[in-house]
Amino acid sequence: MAKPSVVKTAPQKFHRDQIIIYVLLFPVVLVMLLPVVYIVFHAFKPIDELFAFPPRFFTKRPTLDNFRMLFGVAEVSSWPVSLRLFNSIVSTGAVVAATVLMSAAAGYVLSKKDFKGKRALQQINQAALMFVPIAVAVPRFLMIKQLGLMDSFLSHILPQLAMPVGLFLVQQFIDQVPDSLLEAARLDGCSDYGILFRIVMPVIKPALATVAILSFQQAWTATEASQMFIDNEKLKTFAYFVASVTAPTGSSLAGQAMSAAAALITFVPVIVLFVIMQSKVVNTVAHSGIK
Amino acid sequence: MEKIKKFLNRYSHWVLLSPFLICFALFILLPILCGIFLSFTQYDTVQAPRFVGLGNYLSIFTGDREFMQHVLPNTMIYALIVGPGGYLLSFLLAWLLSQLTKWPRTLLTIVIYSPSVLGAVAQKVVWGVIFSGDRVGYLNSLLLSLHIIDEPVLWLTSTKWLMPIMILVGLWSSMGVGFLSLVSGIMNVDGELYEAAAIDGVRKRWQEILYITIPAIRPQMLFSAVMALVGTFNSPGMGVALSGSNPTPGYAGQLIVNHMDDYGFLRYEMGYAAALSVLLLILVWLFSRAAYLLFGEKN
Amino acid sequence: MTKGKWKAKSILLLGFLMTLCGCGGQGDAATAPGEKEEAPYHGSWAVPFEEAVAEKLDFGEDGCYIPVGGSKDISLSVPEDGTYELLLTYQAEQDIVLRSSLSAQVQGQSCTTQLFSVWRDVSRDYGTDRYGNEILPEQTTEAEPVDDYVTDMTGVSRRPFRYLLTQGEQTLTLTSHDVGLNVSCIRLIRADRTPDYQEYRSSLGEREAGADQIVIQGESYSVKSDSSIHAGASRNPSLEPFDYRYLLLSELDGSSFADVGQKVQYAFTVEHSGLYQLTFHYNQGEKEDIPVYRNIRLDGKTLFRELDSVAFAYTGQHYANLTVTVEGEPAEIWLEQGEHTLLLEADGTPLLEAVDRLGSLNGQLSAIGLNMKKLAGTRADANRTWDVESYLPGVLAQIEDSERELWEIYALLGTLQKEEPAAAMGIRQAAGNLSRILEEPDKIPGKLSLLSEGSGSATQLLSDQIDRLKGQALWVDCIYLQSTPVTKKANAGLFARIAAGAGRFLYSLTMQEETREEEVLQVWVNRPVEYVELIQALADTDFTPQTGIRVKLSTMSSEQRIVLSNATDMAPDVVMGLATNTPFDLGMRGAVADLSQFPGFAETMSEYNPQSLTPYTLGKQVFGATETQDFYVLMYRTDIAEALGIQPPKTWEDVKNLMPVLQRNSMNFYLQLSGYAGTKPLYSTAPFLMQAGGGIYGEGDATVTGVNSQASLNGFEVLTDLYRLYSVQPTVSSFYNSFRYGQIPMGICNFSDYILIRRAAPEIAGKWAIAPAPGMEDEQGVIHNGTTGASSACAILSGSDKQTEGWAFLQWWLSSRVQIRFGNTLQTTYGSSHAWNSANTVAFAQLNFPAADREVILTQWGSLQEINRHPALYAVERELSNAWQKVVDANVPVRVALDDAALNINREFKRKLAEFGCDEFTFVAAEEILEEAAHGEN
Repeated sequence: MAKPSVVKTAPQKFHRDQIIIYVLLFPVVLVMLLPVVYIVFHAFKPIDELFAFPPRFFTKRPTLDNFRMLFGVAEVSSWPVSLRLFNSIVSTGAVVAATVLMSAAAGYVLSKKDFKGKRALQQINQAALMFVPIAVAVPRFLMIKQLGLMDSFLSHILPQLAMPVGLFLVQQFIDQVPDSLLEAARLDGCSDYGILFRIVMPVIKPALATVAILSFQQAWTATEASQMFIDNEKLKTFAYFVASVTAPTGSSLAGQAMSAAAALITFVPVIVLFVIMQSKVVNTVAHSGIK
Repeated sequence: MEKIKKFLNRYSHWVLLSPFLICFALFILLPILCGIFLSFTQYDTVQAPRFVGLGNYLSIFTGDREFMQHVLPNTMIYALIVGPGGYLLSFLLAWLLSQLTKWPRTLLTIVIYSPSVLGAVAQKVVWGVIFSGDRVGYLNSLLLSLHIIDEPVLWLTSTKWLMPIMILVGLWSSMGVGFLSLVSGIMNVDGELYEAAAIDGVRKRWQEILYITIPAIRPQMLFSAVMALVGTFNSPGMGVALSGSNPTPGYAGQLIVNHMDDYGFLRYEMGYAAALSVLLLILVWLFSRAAYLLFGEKN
Repeated sequence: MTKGKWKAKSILLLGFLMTLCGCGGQGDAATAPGEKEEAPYHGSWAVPFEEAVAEKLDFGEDGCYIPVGGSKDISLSVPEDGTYELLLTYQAEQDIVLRSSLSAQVQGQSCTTQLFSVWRDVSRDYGTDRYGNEILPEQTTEAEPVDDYVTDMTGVSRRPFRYLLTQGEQTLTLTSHDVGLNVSCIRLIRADRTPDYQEYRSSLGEREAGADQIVIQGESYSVKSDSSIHAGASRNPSLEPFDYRYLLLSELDGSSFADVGQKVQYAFTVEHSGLYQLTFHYNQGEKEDIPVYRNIRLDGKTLFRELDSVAFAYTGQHYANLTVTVEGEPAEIWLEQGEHTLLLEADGTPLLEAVDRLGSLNGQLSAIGLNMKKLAGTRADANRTWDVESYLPGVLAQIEDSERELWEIYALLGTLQKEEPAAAMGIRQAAGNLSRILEEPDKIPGKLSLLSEGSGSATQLLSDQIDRLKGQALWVDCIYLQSTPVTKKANAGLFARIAAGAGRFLYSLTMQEETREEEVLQVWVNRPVEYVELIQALADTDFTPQTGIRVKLSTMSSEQRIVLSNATDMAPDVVMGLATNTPFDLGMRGAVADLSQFPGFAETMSEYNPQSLTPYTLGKQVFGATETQDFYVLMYRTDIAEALGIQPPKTWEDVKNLMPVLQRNSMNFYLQLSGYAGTKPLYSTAPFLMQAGGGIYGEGDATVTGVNSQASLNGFEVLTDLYRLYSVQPTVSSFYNSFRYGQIPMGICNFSDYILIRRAAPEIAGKWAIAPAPGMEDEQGVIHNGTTGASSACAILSGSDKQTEGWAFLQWWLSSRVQIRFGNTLQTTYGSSHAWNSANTVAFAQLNFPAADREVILTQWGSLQEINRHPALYAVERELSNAWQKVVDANVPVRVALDDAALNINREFKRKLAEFGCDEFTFVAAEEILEEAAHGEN
């Protein structure tokens, strides 16, 4: 009779052994969680408690004042914060939608089609995983200028579209899709485009969700365009507004208050989205991995 | 019309590939090539670039005191600790999580993942307040009340403490996509492998991990390693953001990327900065080669 | 549906329609403000009750003149023993923008009162900017006499000061500190003659209720006591007037109406005589849980006692309606048909006790701190123990009492509006500090950071607290006078607010983007937006009409953009407000034009110190000009100097000799270097090298550095010795605070320190002065005290195709006439904190600074010694800072440190010069360049 394995992964129900794990994990969780929780509470603290001494974590008098102050700063400028939020939402939405489509299309091709140069492209993409955008800030600036995109809304969107990680994940996921499925579709007379949209995309939804989240994370917090490519105040995004408002007033009381509120606003959509889609994400990355 | 349709169908793979390819080429590939080109020039962003061959690279290694004394060591230290360190931490946490039931595991995964998406502003708020140099900074007031120190310590502007703090923050925020990949990877290891191992006489947990789990999730390990690397080299603005000045006091928190900024924007030497960025890319590539060796499949 | 909802819906609909029509307000046409209006009706600010006037002295047409710093004795005949108040009618000689004061002393009782002038808006027809938002009007002053009571300006109450006088002839001595003034009338008023409300009301008898419903807009004051009191704009539908599209000046801005003693007066007409109630629609969001106060006078009279110190409770972010009530019932005020005035005076009398007690407590704790410091020496070990009781008997009891008193004061403040007021949190924290100190009494001297040193200490908390309590910021939207209660809600409903927000959003979508017009000169300014708007207004009304050149000024958030924009077509023509290294850096790379080539260059620069051009020269080219110039002078406490018997130092040797004296009294000296925690800036280290005869560069050859020459070494040693051997405090978190509290009674201050102390430290008014900075004496006995100064610069981009126009603009801007006008307008509009330190010496001599101080500054500027720039100058800054650190922290010998520095600097010099292909690098003196330029034009 086989001895039961020492370790079980993915247990179905609670077991005594797990207590140790919880104990081990507790300090880690605390360290991870505390700053996050802190931000959440910080954003709702009334001003005098922000720098209370001795410092308090929770607040007895939660208030929306900090948010009002944050939005109030833009009150005396000519452009309302709502416009900035609007810009952010539109550009992020566009980026996410386009990235998902493009990654799906390219991933499908790189995974299932055979053609010259396929291997090379895959290698290049894998190499590009390690790309650090900050390293090429000025060349990108010159590129935008050459393309005539300076001071245009598109400069928020286009540079963010190519996401090597996204392509990589999607491609790996599609690798798992059985070829037979595709064969059947082709026999029915489906073109590549049809296969992509009718068969593949529905099946790889978890991967697409992952790409959506990752690109959302990137686009929502992106300030590159607003800072480098755009002069016109009307087009700048919320993320840039947050950075510009909180940077100079860093240590003043009002600055701290607004930073906290701004941090929360930036952080919450990302986390919420993640929570909603996390099972799909985990599913996706389960099949990822570099061989 | 028919002709177009035919064309589209024949080269459908290129058509489908092109949007991505174009964006990729324009905004990733070309800038990199451009950067490489600039690295061989002297460019002050005002006048046209001037070709100097390998001059920049030579300067980096022979003439740049700060680079050799501070930036390179700092970057290596930071990368070596946060990279593998964060990676190890990810793995451990992922493994620990896999021992739990579904709901706690999901919850904890979210918790551990969140810091990585916090964003620069939030990071500054949190860590700025905790490490603030006056009495009201949380860490200072805690230590003061416990009488461990007597005067508030200037954490973020002191040459001694800035690097450790950066490392701490780096580790804290490194549980990103790679971490998720490990979690799910471990979760999906085929149970039969463990049973087979048990039959073969494996008794201890650590044996299981070493001999079964790790080999089984090799691909995820590699992916996660690459992601960790990228994250490490990619979160550099931290030193400057935390201490509030570029260069950081005494060059204590200076990493390659800050050094690049310094040369590029403060000293008007874009060409040199480009050379540094090429160096950075090479460094990252080297590290990832190491990762491949460790975890790649030996075909 | 309720009214609010209808309104909300209609705004939304309107917004939609506008979006559809695509005809959003163009708003890209700024409109000019209206013409100067006639002075509106305004009555006297202070009218006493006739029967209360004991004596009235009229000085007739010429008045009684009191010169600056001078006194006048006046004879008063006091009819009988009693308490009296003084009411003066005076007119000051110059526009009073900074605080001016007058002392009135009689029978040994002296009171220093603040002097005011009458200010008003030039026109209430507000101009708009290019988006349609209203902009603040210019200010003007009326050369008229002012009636005001003598009140104690050092305290927080503005009730008239009470003199206890005996019958007979008494001498009143009036001394003016800052301005000359003409007193035309003095009245001696019997105190305590104001009736209370019951008296007032019953004296009226039966009267009818007034039929009018009068609304006075908060921003439509007729006159005010300070030019900087101004209207404010806020996008809040609760305000009146309100337009969701634009920013309208719709309320009296509380942040500018926050100092005790400021007055704002309104004029209104009553059609039907009757009894009226007074209601204010206001906001008080500054002092949480503690009210602010106003004295209210109608037609200059305090009708009844309850109109003194009317409390405006804290309202947070909302607005509230406050009706003046007496014991719960609205007060009824009789108003005859005709013109009337309503005066609001900021006051803090209910807080007087708390503030005074806190002040004296603070002094006590500060003194205890100083004594403790003497006990323990400057760097006390926190683990040592001292027997404090035997050294300073009773000190522990003192601290305990102080703690208890703090709690009492805290409770006292809690009775004003709400218990445990959040705005008084500092008191609690300070009390907490004290109790922690008392836990370990024998370690007190080592733990002075809890008591009296640095931020978070009890004394610092209390002084911040006192400042906070003193503030009386009040935003007034409008004032209602009607006989029935006000029914209009104080705050717009949720729907209205959402609708306004939505409307604004939709409107902003249709708003015109800024277009670049070809003919317009584009100027980017790296300054706050209010400065830019002012310059734009000046340019539109002064420059463009004269030259026909249109200018558009925009803010520029980062100078990096200039560099990058050079690569695009979006570069500006002129840039202003630049950091002083930028013109040179850009010029060396050909991005900036050489100003010396333009006609009129020498002439324009004749109004400036030639040295001010030095940072921008490369060979004979000049890449920029200095706009604002900093100064570094010695600031010292005259009272402390007297007490210690010391003279302000003239040389660094003198400073060294002073240090032991200062140290003995636990005091110290401030150098600019001590204000920086990280890298020490060049201006704080380099002057020492230069004053000793050394310098940054080698003699006549700038390819090598001169920081390790013998002279430079000597100079640097002076600096490091001050820290190393003479214990100058290496880090000072706030010179402003340390100077106020006497911990650092002398030091080198810069412009912003000066303005801060001048404006925000009234308790030491008259107790400090400035003098030229100390320097180094050479063999001939000449003292070299040169320092740098350039603070911000302007330049013309070489890529611009409108360089001649750009130069015309800069010429206009740099001229003394415009600099004076700008500096004055800036101050009158935004308050005395916005001083403009123009580098134009002619202009500066006429800007609003006290005469004596101005002299000192101009003298100091006479020794201006700028540093030529070098492409690798940043290396010098970093290396000198590192060298300082090595010598002071690690005791490395000066020669070694500087030799190291020189090595690194030379290497960097070589690198950079090689980059530009320069084998040689020398400098041409700025004076020479100017001479050549002048000749070139003749």
